[in-house]
Amino acid sequence: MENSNQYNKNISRLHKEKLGMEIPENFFAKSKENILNKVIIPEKTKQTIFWLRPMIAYPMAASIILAIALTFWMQNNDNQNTEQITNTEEVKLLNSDFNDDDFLISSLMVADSEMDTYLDSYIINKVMIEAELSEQKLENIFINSVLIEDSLINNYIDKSLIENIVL
Amino acid sequence: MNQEVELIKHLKNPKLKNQAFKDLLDLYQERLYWHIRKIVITHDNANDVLQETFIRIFNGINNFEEKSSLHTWMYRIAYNESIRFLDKNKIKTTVSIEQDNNAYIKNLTEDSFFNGNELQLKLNEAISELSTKQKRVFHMKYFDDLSFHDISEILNISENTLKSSYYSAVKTIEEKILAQC
Repeated sequence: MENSNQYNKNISRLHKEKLGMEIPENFFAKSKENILNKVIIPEKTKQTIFWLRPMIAYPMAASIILAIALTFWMQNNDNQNTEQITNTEEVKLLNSDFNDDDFLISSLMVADSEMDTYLDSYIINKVMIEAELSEQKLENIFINSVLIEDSLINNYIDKSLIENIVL
Repeated sequence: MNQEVELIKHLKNPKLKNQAFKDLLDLYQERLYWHIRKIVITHDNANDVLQETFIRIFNGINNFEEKSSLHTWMYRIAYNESIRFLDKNKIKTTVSIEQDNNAYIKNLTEDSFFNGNELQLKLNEAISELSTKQKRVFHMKYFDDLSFHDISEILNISENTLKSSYYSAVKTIEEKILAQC
């Protein structure tokens, strides 16, 4: 390499001394850089930005996927909790001791978005319970009527039915 | 020669190519520049042709069949690129600076990177009056310090013909310079 450098220097000197040809300062260093920039560009484009390199990009992608999955899972979990609360309240509604005040208090625990569903289920259950109780009372009237004398039966039935239906 | 064989091997290896090309530039950039400069005359033109030459070398190294030495192959590319440049220029100016002595000297003296004294200008004028073949041979032998064997490979002319052209050119130049003194 040293011989080559000396050879190059001799050639440059010969051209300057014999032919008067000059070159700009540091020309060969700059020219080398220009040439390398032109031919080694494809390699440079292959060099990815630091945070896009596989060792960074893959864990980053995995983290993003995990974060998205967690978000979905947590959202679903919240919905299930809401449904669980509603179901719990429905069970309570089936209990006859569950009165209107309890309903108002328990409704405070229900999310606004679930309020319509909660209300519907409350009304349906209330009607069903009332209907069942009425049916049972009617059955009792007919059973009791068997034990009452024939002359009094019409008055008893009328009286019991009026009580049940009106009240 | 061993260094050249090693360099070719590295240049043809994709993993080592870039580093080998840098080494190649260190070794031959300066020589090829001066080889080109004497044909295209001005520095700016020589710079353009030099870049084109090395781009061709980089892209074509895998096609190098090693029938000749690496440096003669590169000189041939540089020479061909220079001639191609002159041909393109000839279309614009209708005459090549290689064939027109006045155009040769005009281009030389108008170049901002020519700083020749009277004697240097006389030598340039004497060279410009040589035939194209004599001029090429004289440049390659005297200034580029290439062997007749290498010049023969680059120009595809027999060594004997080259020797004859060279000595004839030297004699002509001497006579012209002595006549002007």
